[in-house]
Amino acid sequence: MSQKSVKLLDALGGIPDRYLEESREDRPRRRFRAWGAVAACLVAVIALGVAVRGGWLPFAGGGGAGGHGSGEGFQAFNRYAGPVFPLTLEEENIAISARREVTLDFQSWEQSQAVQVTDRYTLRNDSQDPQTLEVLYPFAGTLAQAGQWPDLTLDGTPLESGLRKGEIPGTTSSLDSLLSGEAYQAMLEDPEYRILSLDTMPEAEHVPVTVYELTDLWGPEQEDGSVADPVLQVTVRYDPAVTEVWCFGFDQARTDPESGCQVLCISLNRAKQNPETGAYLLVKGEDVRSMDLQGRTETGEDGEQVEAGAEVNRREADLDEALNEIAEVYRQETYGDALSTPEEKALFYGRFLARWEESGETALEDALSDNAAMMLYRTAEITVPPESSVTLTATLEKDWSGSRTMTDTVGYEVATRMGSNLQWEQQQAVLEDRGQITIAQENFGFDLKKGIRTVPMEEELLRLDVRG
Amino acid sequence: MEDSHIVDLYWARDDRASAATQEKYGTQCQRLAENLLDSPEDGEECVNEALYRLWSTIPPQRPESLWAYLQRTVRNLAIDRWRRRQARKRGEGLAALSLELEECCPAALTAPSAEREAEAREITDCLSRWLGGLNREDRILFLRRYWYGDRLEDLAARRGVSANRLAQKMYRLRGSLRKALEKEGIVL
Repeated sequence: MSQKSVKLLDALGGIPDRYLEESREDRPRRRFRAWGAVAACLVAVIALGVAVRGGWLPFAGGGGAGGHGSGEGFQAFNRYAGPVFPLTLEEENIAISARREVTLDFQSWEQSQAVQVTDRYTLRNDSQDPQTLEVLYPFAGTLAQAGQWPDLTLDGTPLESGLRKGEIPGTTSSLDSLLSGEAYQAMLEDPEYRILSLDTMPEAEHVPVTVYELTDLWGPEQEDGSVADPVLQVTVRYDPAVTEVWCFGFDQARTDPESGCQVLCISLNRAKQNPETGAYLLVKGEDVRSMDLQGRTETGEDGEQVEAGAEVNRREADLDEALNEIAEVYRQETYGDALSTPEEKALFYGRFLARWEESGETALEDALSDNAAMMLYRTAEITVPPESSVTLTATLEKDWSGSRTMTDTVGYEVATRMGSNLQWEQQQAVLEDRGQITIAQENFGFDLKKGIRTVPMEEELLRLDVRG
Repeated sequence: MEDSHIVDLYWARDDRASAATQEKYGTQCQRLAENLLDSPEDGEECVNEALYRLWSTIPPQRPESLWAYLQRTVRNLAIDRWRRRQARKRGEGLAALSLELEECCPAALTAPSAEREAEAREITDCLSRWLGGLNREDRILFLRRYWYGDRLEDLAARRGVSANRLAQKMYRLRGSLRKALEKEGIVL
């Protein structure tokens, strides 16, 4: 071990308690969906008298914008996970009125500092006709956390839902620069803001690509201690005017787009652990001029040549097929069940193209593990029978927001009307603190000492800052 | 027993403080020390030393999180112990000699200089910012590996992914950290 890495190990010792607490137990979240089992006909569920009458408090106001933010008296966030947004409809429907109850449950907060949110809506149809609605449940999500995106249920039964994406065309779709609820509101109210469908990679259909798959990598035996971390270096040369080269499964990629040269490396020690796992090169446009494989003792200029190689299989395919194949490889080997729907795959491809155009990133998995938050919507079609109501519930895990100046405190926000066109009757919040937290500051109206855990939500944006 | 109560015991110089800490967190500490030192015996010694260190430093310290304070202490002692072991392995070289001489140096000489402390803080700040920019899964993964010393195979099994894919993920995370350090002009 070098002095450099020891310095890093030492430095790690000083990271904030928050990160230590968060990683105290290693319990990765996995989510299991039951898409296949859910028939589309569920949308025609007969509504039962599900509205919870007790405890509701009158709510002033309809679906308009405006109101107050939570900014006054609170520390500004410098890491903002976005608020819990209210449900909205594809098209405003005056026959439908809504009541909402948001439960913030801190049961497993100690492990992850994420709050479990149950966002329950009672949608009432006061008309004589059934109302079919396209509901949209907004959330700020990243591709890397696709397994934790919200789930929707209707009257307790999982809903088959789709995915859409919100953005202002021509701007970066990442939400990372938005550090307050007000900034989100400004984006949603921008006249240019659009909620886009995510079709099945239209730009990739019928686009021919050449796929190179590298398998069965071999190199110096590990017993030979003289080569600690050998790599297989793959150098491809191409005409950048007519060819683009994208990669997957390599540990390092360096591109010189002007000369048309890409140097990629795979750690042979890593590859030896799983020889059946391959690496891919996707060549769009004319095929590459050359591809050289060379073993090196290490990455970079200092590496010396060693004996190493791989099986290289070349085939032709359509780009969307190749991307689907790669997404499937990724899905099977990484967290949860991300990328299991065409929309998620389309989102992945869109994110990859954005990264590629912005910064020339050629590694497909970088888009898959992308941390940039996007404005996304779970969508579903439901029908509310005449003079009846249904209960639609979104469950999600809301990440914490924080500030450098509040090191032991994290915050969560709930928006009541932001971006929503529903006609609201009432909204209320329920706090399930589970003895896990103390409230540092808030504007919901909770008071744990007095046992006030259910409150009406009247402000536009409500914030709860807590500590353990 | 609540952590705050245990801290109160330390402040009251009550012998039960160490026993309560040992009872509540001993197993976790032993696991951490063993992960880092790869030796149950060294791990046990390290935990005992950490408990003594807590007794010596609380008061005046009043840690907000006793658990985090203890874990940090165990980890720092494990790294110190590992350094000594490495130096001993190098035999009679300068490393071993300087280690022996360190024992007779006044505290002022062995204490980190203001410059070194500032440098360490700078690296820690950069690391913290980089960690803050990761998604939670990646952050936990990185810390479980490099703070807690969990085995890659165990991390992979808990995530239901192949060790190979996780190794690639770690490789990329390390690359991302390297870029972040370089971007802030930090030379190790």
